[in-house]
Amino acid sequence: MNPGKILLVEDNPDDVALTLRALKSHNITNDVVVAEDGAQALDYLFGTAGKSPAEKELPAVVLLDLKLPKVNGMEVLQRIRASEGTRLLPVVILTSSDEERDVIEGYSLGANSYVRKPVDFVEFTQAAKQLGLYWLLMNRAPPVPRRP
Amino acid sequence: MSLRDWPIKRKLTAILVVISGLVLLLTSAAFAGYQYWSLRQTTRDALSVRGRIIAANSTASLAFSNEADARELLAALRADPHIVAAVLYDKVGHVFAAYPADVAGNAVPAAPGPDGYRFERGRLIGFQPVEEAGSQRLGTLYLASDLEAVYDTLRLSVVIGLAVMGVALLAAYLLSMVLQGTISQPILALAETAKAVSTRQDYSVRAPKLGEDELGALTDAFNQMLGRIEDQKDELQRHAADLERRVEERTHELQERNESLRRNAAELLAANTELDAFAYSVSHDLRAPLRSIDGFSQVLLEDYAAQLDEAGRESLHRVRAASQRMGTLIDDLLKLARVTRAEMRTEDVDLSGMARDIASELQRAAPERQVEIRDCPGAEDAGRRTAAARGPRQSPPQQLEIHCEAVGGARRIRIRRRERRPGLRGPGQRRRLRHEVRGQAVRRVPATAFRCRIRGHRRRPRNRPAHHQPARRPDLGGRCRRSGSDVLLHPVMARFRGPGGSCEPGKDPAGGRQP
Repeated sequence: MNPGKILLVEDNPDDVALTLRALKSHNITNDVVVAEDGAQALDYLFGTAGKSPAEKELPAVVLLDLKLPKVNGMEVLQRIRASEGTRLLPVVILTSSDEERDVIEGYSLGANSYVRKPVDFVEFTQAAKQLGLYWLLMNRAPPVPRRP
Repeated sequence: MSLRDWPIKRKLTAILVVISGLVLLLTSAAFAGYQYWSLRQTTRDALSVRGRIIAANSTASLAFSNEADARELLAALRADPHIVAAVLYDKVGHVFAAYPADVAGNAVPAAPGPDGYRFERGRLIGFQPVEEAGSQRLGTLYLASDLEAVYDTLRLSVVIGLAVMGVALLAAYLLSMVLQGTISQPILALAETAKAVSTRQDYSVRAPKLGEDELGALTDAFNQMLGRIEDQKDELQRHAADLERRVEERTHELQERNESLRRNAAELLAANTELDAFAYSVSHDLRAPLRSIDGFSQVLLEDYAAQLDEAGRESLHRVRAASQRMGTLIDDLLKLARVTRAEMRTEDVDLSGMARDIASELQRAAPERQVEIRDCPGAEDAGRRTAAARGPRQSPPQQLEIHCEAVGGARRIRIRRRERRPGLRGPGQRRRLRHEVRGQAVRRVPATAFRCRIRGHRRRPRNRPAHHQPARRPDLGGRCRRSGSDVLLHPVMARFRGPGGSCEPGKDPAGGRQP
C-alpha cells in the first residue's frame, strides 16, 4: 500500500470515527492525520508557533470539510493553493453541503474533487473506499516541489 | 400699402374727398366751358358793332378818295388796345388805309376775304362791307383783334375756381374726418375687442355699442358670442381643475399604495430570505447527526450482530431507515429552499411538453412503474395551448421539476388537459388530489385547464419486511399511504398559486389523503 498519509480535516468526532472506520474496513491502512479545525490543518501543513512542520512529507491527499471552526474550509483551501510548497497538493472537499455556490467556490479555489457525504453509512463507506483507492493508488501524486 | 390694406378711417376719408373733388371738378369744367363760349360771342358782337360804326363813318373818305381822313378815322382805334390791326380796302380790293400806319404788309391780308367775323390763328378777324346807304359798295373794312380780354377773364375764372375748389376740398376733408367716425368707430371698436380676445385670451372684454344700426346689431351679436365663450371657458376650467384635483388625489393614493406594497414586498422578501437561510443552515446541521445515527447503527449491526437478537437487529434497521428517510426529507427541503431563492418570473410555457418530459423522466427513473399519460396534445397543438406557469428563473422544464420531485414517489402521475365543464365533475373526480394550474392561456381559452393528479399506491402488504421500504411517510389517517415528500406538497401548491394560477388539493379516488 502506498505509504502516503491522508490529512482528514473534520471537526465532528463522529464523522472522524466513521471515516476512519470506513477507510479501515476497506483495508486502507495509510496513516490518517486528523485536524479538528482549519487552524490545526494549516499548522500541520505549514508549521507555526513552534510546532515542527510536516514539510518533509506532505500528505498524499487532503480530505477537507467546509464548515470548520476557527478557519473555515474555503480559507484553508485558499492558503494551500497560495503557498508554493502545497500548490499542487490534491485536495478533496468532503462535506455535507451540496449547495451550488459551495461547489462553484470550491472548484474555483482549486479543489481537485468535491464529494458530498451521504447520510447512508453504506454509501458513505463506499465513497470513502473509492476516494482512498483513487487518490492513494490510481492517482499519480504531483512531484514534491523542491524547497529553496 | 395697397388701397385694400388702408385703415378704414383713411379709406372713408379718401372716398369722401375724391367724390367731392370730382363733383367740384365737373361743375367747374362745365361752368368754364360755358363762360369761354359766351365770352367769345360777346367779343365778336362787340367787334362787329365797332366795325359797322367805322364802316359807316368811312363811306365819305372812300367815296372821295380822301386817304388822310380815312387814316385819321382808323387811328381813333387806338382807344381799344385789343385791336391789333385795321385796313380799309377800296372798291377793287387795294389797301386804301391801314392801322397802325407802320403795319407790315404781311401782317394784314393783301386783299379782302369773304365778309363776316371769325376766329383765326388766335385772333378774331372780320371783313365789314363799306356801303352807301342801300346802294353801291364802296370798299371793305378789315379788323383784327387779339383774344387777351377773353383769356384774362378765363384766367381769373380758373384762379377763382381753383381757390374755391381748394377750400371746398379742405372743408370736405374736415367734414369727412368728423363724419366717417359714425361708421368707422363701431367697426374699430369691434376690431379692437377681437384683437384683445385673440392676443390676451381674455373673453371678459366687451365691444362698446355706439348705435342701433346694423353695426349695433353686429356688436350685440359679437358680445353675446363672447359671453357664451366665456361661460364655456369657465366651465371647462372648472372641470379641468376638478379633474386635476382628482388625478392628484388618485396619484397620491396610488403612490401611498405603491409605497405600502413596496414595504410589504421588502418585508416579505426579508422574511423569506431569513427563512431560507434558516432552512439551509438547519438542513446542513441536521444531516451531520443523522449520518452519525445511521453510521453507528451500521457499526452496531456489523460489529455486534452476534450479541443482538432478531428484534434488536430489526430495531437497528428501523433506526437506519428512519434516519435515511429524514435525510431524504432534508434534501427535499434544501431543494425547495434553493428554488425559493431563485428569482420569479412569468412567461408562456408549453405545459403539455413539460408534462410529457416529466412523464418520460419518471418512466425512465422507475421503469417498473406504470405511467399513464392521457390526452397529451401534440407539438402542433402546443403553441396554441400554452399556459403560463410560474417558476424560478431557469429553463421551463426545470421549473416543474419541483413538482416532479414532490410527486416523484407517487405510483402514477397524470397530467392532462381537461375540459372545464361543471356538469362533468362527478363525485369520483372531486375526490381526487389534483393540482390545477390556470394560466394566461386558460384565460384566453376559458374552456381549458390543466390538471395534474397524484395518486398514491396501496398500503404495503403486511408480510413485506419493513426495511425493504426505503422510506415511509406517517399515516395521515387515510386508507392509502403515499411515498414521496409530503412535506413539500403545500409549498409546491403555494408555488403554483399566486397571480394567474391556482392549485387545489383534491381527494384520491382510492381513498387518499384529505388535505
